[in-house]
Amino acid sequence: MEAFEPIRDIAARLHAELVSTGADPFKPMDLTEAAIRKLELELVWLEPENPALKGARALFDGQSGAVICENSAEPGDRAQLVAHEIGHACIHSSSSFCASADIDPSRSTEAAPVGLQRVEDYGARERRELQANVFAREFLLPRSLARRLHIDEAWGVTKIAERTGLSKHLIRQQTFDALLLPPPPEESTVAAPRRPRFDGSQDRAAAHRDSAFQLQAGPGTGKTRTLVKRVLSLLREGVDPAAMLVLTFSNRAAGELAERLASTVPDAAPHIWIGTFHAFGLDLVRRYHDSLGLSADPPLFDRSDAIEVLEEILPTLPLIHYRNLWDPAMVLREIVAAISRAKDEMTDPARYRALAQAMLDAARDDDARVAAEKCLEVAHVYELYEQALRKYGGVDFGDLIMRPALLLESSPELQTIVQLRHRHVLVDEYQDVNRASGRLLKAIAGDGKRLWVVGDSRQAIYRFRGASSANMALFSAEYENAAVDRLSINYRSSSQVIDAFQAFAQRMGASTGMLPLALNADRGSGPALPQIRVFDMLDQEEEGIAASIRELEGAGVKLRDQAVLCRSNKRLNEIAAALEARGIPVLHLGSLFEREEVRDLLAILSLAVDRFGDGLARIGAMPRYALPLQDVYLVTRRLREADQKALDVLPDLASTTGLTPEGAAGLTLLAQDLVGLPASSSAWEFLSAYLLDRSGLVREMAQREAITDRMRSVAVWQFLNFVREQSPTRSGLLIRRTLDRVRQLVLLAEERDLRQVPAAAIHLNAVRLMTVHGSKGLEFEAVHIPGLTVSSFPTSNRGQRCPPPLGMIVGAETLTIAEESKQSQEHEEQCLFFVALSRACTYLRIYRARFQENGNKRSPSPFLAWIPKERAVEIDNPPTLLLPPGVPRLTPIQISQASVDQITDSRLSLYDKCPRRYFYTHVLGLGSARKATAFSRTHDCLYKLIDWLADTRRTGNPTVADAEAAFEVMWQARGPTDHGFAAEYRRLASRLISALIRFGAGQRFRDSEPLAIDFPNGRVIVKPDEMAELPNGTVILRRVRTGKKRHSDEYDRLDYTLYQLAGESRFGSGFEVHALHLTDEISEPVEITSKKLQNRRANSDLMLKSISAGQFPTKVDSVTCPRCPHFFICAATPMGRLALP
Amino acid sequence: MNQTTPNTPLRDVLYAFALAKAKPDAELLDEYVRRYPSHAAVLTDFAIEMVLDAAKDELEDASKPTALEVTPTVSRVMSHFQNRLFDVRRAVMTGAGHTSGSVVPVANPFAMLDRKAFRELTRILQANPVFMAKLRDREIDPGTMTDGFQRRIAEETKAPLDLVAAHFGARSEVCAGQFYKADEKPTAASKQSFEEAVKTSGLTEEQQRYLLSL
Repeated sequence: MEAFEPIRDIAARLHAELVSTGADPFKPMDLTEAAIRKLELELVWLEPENPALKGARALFDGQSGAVICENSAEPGDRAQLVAHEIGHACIHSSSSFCASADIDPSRSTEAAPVGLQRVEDYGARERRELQANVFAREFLLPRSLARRLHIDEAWGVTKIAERTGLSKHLIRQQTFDALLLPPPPEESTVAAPRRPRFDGSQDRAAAHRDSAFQLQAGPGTGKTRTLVKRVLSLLREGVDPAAMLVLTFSNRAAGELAERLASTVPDAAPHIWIGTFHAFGLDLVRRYHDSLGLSADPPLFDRSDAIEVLEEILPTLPLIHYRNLWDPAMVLREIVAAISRAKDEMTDPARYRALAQAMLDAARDDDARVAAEKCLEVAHVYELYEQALRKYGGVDFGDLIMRPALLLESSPELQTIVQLRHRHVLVDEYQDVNRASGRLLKAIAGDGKRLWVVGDSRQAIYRFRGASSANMALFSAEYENAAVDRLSINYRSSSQVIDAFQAFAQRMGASTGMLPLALNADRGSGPALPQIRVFDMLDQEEEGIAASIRELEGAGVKLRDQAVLCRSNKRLNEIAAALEARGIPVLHLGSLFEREEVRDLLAILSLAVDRFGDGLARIGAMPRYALPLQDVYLVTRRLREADQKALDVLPDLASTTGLTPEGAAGLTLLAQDLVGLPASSSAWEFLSAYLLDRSGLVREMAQREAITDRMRSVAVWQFLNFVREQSPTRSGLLIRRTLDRVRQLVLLAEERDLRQVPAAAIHLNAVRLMTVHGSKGLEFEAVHIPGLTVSSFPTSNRGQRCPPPLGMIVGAETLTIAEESKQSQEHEEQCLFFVALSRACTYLRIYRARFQENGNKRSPSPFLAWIPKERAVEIDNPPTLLLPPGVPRLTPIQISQASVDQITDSRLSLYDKCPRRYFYTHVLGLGSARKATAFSRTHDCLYKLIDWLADTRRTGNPTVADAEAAFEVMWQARGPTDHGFAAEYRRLASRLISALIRFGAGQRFRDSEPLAIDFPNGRVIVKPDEMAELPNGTVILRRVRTGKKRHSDEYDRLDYTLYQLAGESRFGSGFEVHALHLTDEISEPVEITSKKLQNRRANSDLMLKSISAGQFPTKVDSVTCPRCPHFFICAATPMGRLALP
Repeated sequence: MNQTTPNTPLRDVLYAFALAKAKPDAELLDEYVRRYPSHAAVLTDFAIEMVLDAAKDELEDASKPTALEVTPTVSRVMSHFQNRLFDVRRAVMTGAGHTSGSVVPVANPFAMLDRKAFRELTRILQANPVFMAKLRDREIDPGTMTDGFQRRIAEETKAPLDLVAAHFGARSEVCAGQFYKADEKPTAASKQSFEEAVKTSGLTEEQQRYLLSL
């Protein structure tokens, strides 16, 4: 059961009891006063500034049993304060002291796990306040009442607020909880915890004293239970709970431990410091902020903030190897990751520079020199970044560990103080320790006499944070007289499953330096050996997993007790879709911002800030509005002409000439739903009002009970939970900020944690789908692991974009950077497979396909050979579950157009990149101007100049000075002249102009006429950037790029092929295609093999055919999608035909 | 430290603690907390303060000639403890509020009362929970209390008068500040006068009159 459910239950029961004895549920003060009487508490009101409140808004005095509360607010708000304190009285029984930040009964039960929320909100005290908030909300407006009012009585939030005086925030959150989250499970669905017998290895570990102790705890051996036993044994000895510090590496682990301790030792638990290393680091930063030269509450910078800081100072960054003019954020993303990695290794900018310089000094060839120069570039950016951070007085994630560690190391006095305060240190998940957290731990634990750590090196799966299994093996070297022991009984798995993962473990790199894994199965033998199910094709693998799930369900394994664990999110999405299509419910959110129901809300939000109203292209597809495609086309045209805010024009759109009656009705309804909602409000308020007061969509969703529908509701809940949080560093319209943040999070892959299904939905009877990373710490009766083929699992090593300088990674000095990276990647992949195998209790099924889509053979994963034949049974072509007939597939869009016989090369290239984007941009004509950055404005000026040059060179030979003069006019008109770094951008432009002129020297330019290529399915028009003629009469078609040449695949882009084909059709053989890359000053002939040319010619024709047939599938890409103008509307399309003028 | 028992007054516990080791360490602190669990927080703060004082003294010692009769460590511990004791005595004698920032550990005669007893005492004094919390948390300037009032408290809590006086004289305490996190410690306000405390506790006119008459 979800942790908050018992609290809600207490609150709802109290509410019901008081109402049954006469309290009025619509008078919150009445209810709270009745509760005070019933619980024999006392209530005292004081003026807000009364010193007895000590700055709090309300407090509960456990000794006297009194709630003391400020009397300033309205009755509804006052009731919320009192109800919060009654929550403390009911749940915690001890005193509480609640400042305004603590009391917010609308607060969600789950912090949105993005950005800084990852660090905060998980401490024991925060949890108490959250519990009291949830209690208050459930007591004042139980979910059953919220549901009845919203569904049966059709009351909106405003009406409930008017009748009760409760805040709209509280009512909204509670209504969302009541209607979007599934109802709590019946008691019987919650498995009773197994009660393990006496376990000598656990008890021995718990009782260890007087030296540092490392416990190696294999899967399922009860490490959390042992840690709790350790705490109990310390408490029994009279150790002060406030002297205990329990550190973990993940919020999930911290939350679980806090819950476990709160139920085992309720009085002591709130006094124990439990949290992640980062949360503890933050606490130290706040405690010793003056020693660190920071304010008492320094702003925290997450990755996107860091990139924003660097983007501001971009032109001053000395980038050569890492220069990317067009898309600086992508390079900065890598550099920020490299800086973060440096902080994990306790490497400050000075050391980074020294290591990089040493590399340069030792470099004997070009490759080594380039590698060193790249490191020096990063070192320089690192220095500037740190200066910028200091200017803001901020700290980033890496600082939360590195800075306190350095501070304590430099101050024996502070170290002693911290050691006196935190005398018993317990660390969970010790395998995830990296260099920085290891040093911080050493500073806190001193000689380690009272240090106790537990972990499993074979489950070290956070390589990107610098965690490596080697750190675990170094424990005995770090702490004198350290004892190392292991747990020996596995309580989770059958002996067959244990035998399989133990056999695998023997060959793992992470087993080096560890005690051998020798587990006894507490459960004894199970009904089946692990299976390896082999299919021909990947589609069959999906069908086979579906069949296997149904087969186990038939054997009594509920869907909720089965999990599919994938190595990659991409494969997970495919399997989720395949299972759902076969009627198997799945518990899987996938990428939250790509879900249809979430995109619907993003499109609604975009209407508030996008004056062109492109969101209508998706909104029209929502059943509630059902706008025909042709009508969407008409109104989006009209919005473009109107040039007013879309929300303001909305009421008039229904009268657009040529609309169908259905379209007019849909637009009228949309106007009713949205007009008057303030575009300046927060995304949460805007959507809450839309969903609860206007459209009634939540009411509709709440009445659907199929699990797939429930998952949609959960996704909406998760999204709303996300939009509640605002990033503190950005400015501008709140809704715009939310939309920008969504793009940024997807681009930086920081939205992954939002894929985690909220705890309140975990009990649904659906197959759990997750990545192996996400399955850590969990267990399932049946585990399905697909994709055991070479390069899928283990994945291949992609190398590092920004490798660290040699010598930075401690412990890897004997390896080259590439070797270290390869080795740690291999170890991590092994650990991932080990984690996947060991999640299974009884049934373990592994899947693989023999062939690739093109018929080539697909080799099995090398990992399979590590499991001896007798430990797993291989089954060839096992049963599959085919798709039922009548499942809808993507249907083409019917388009009629007056003239569609030709298309430009750039449009065809766009279709090649993403057909859907082509459809939105060139068929529907959507796409507001992209957000202009200083770079894009400089870039646009340069392209103007390229056009000018092409024109001018026909008749003359412009010099650099001529070009500069022409450019200056363009620059003044369109360039980023108002930008703080305008001079830097201008200098950069000059450099490129000079290259442009230099590479044109000695050539005779001719008119850059449009060239046609005729394909069977249509004509493509190519207009080359430059056309010149060599003295021998050869024509040069030159493509000019402002950026750098991409590596090997640069000339695989369709643009060059089209130049080639256009040249052939116009000039026969007397021409060459060249490319000019201005940034790295390369001009060279383009070579394309005849086979490639032939393939791309056929492909181009196929694309033309697809365009005519209305086929516009999406091409999802994690980098281009979040920057696409149509990101929020893709890929929904309204029904009907489209007739273009 | 062997001479102390769990009922030993706090000042003796701290005295023994201060002398047990030149510099307190985790082991010693654990041992004392084990023996005197109700003083855990005070002992921890006291130990930390000893470390801070020692660091300060070391800085000063470096510029002074070493005393011959006693070792610097013993001398430092003794003077540290004497300073603390002086603070307590001064508070008792003058009823003055505590002014320095350091911890003065003093037993709290209200701390051991359970809810029933606490409410009974509230009823006898015709007070309310807010006013009682001010007494418990040392938020009233003892110099503004009548002797009669302090005597009455001593009588009702069955505590010696000097302990009651020391309690009121010690630094204000924040009862709920049990969760040690840097950003969440509510700050103890400066002390109120007795009259002010009576008037700002949400008491009825009648209750106020009674308390002011004591």
